[in-house]
Amino acid sequence: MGAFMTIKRICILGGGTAGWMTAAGLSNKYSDLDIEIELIESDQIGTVGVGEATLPHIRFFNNALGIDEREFMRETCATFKLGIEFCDWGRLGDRYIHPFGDYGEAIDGVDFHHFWLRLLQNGHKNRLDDYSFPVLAAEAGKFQHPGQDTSVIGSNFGYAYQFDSSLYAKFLRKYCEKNGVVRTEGKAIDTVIDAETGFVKSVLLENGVTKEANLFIDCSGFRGVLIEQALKTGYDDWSKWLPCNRAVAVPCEANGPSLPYTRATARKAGWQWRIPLQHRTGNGHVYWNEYISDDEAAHQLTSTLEGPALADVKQLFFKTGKRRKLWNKNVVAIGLSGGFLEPLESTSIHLIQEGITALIELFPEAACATSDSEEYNRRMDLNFDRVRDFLLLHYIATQRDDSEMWRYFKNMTLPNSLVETLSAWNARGYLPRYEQGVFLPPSWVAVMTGQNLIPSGFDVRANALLLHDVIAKIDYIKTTSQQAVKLSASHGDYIKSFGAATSIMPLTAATTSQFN
Amino acid sequence: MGALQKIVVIGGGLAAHMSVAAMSKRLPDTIDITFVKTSATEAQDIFYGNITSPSTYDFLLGLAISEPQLLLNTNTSFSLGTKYVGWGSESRSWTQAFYKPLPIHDGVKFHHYVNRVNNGALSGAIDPYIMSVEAAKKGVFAHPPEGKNIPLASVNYGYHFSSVNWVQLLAKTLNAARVKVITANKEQLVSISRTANSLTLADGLVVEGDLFIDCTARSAHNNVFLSPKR
Repeated sequence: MGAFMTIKRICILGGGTAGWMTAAGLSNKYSDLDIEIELIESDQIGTVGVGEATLPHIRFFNNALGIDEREFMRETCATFKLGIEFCDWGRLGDRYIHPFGDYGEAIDGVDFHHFWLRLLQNGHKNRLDDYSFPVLAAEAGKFQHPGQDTSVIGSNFGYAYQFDSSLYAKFLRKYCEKNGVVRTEGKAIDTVIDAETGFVKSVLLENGVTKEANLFIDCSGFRGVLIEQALKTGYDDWSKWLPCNRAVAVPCEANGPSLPYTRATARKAGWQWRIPLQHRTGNGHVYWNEYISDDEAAHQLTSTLEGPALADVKQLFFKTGKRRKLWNKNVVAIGLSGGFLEPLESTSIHLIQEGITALIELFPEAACATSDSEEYNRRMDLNFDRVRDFLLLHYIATQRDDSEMWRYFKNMTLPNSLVETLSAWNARGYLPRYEQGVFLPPSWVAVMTGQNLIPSGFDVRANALLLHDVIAKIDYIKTTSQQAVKLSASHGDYIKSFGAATSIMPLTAATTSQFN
Repeated sequence: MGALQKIVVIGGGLAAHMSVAAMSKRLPDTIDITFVKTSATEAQDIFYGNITSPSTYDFLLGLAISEPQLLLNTNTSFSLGTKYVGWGSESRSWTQAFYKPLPIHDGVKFHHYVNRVNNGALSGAIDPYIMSVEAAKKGVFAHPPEGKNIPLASVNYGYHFSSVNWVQLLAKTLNAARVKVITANKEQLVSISRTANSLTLADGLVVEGDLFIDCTARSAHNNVFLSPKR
């Protein structure tokens, strides 16, 4: 074995959400050690900043950094998020909420939804939603923090945030600079590769300065300056499964009470998001340009805004897929440089976080042993694959066939992994459990039942109890959940009383137009 | 296709008895369970070894077999782990024990700290931090308390057992009203109909099932009953 050579310098290329989250995560762990962290970003290059809605895991990230929740929410104009409301997905006119948290609670080790299915087959008409505190609270526009004892109904849920990701990047930048991260303004124009190892030795900036490092983190966005342009890693194109390839986005004035959830409404050639922040509402339309023109997509978006637009419509282009290796040689791709999956389930920031966590756990020596990078890539591949399947589920678990796009999905050959999941679900409501992959069985249950994919059977163990005992048990869950919602404050009031209200005034078209 | 209604378990050893016990306990009465009990495969149960992992405690509790019942009725004893002697080119020996996960500080697993303190010489250095290893070395045992944050709570344990005894206990506690038991000699199992989902015994008895659990082990007579005839 050669001499143990530790990493002395890490260079992060790109300063969007991915870059600053990575810098924050690494500097938190390594600031006391003899490891320099430098982030290079250029003000000339814009950030995409689409991912404004997050998953509950972001809280653990912030906690690990020692970030105060109130301060974070004030600085990023954040709102609480209990889940996502999906409109028009199963059929036109349908709606359901995918909450963060279990439905009901398992009885004798058998998941709750099996008992619900048993009652459904016996003619009981209760919605599965009636057994979920976060769904009921979201529908009522209310919020409260989960209590300490998470076994109590009204506390057994998770929550996330909707926030302004460019403000989050700024917020983290302050944190990073306090932790000793060096920020350099500059644009990479060339890369030097070591002829022997194939490692990236240094990047050359436009002003002639060369930056060397042992480890490079590529957060340069879709271009993948290091992972693709320098190392030619290659890209797995998943467009045949998730063909939406463009988006238009525009913020608008917030209108009406503040809602504790994101909304995703299905459209004829894609879907539209609505993300409520404290000072404005984010909107966007993800679409497949095969079946709708850019102009029409923009028109569909702007004609359905709840208030006056606060900026010009921004156009984005992408190709769904994943870099063949997210870690190649001494370059780790985090963020859009590593892959893109449409933000239907708010996974963009989560995948950044997974990448940072895995990197810290597998933090290599300077030689970057392939055993580390291969394990990293296996983990990240599973994460990407499983998010892909879960996103695809929304498009195929549907009765819609009213446009070309929906008919395309009807006739699609699915990935084997998804075929197996669907088959086990359809027969008896079984869902596979796995370690890597963000969406746990309750999320699959939410989307499948929400889009009218009801299994023909259920776990036979749900028959072991007498019917009236089952009814008594689950009625209790329903009433307790309803009571907990009744006692909760409205989302807007809760943000204020919690001390998380931002001092940034709500944006209006009149005040923002001068910047456009 | 309709719901699964008939399960047939075939075999005579530990696997068959554990399967019948668990399924008869957990599955609703609407599912018939038939136990075609062959002459015991005790000779082959030796291949299961004589030590179980910590999960056995919960498994047996799920069958309503308590630990005192187990200890008083079989010659079971506690197992804190296994001592490995003379392994590898350096003929290393160590005690590998059952224990609950070691603490994680700041997201970093415990053994990294031990490794650091010992300048990279991890071998044996972690033992003093694992109570079950030290207890095993001394030959002492105490139950880990539940819900108490003391070092003893980190201990986990399995059992040393004899499969013959366990089979006897499981046979005795079998719910006769729930499971239909058919005693058959191995030689009596003659044919399987793959179309009719049934197997026929030598005396002409036909046992039907939707699902067959083959616990006949690897037959010493080289006739594995439920493998398809080619």
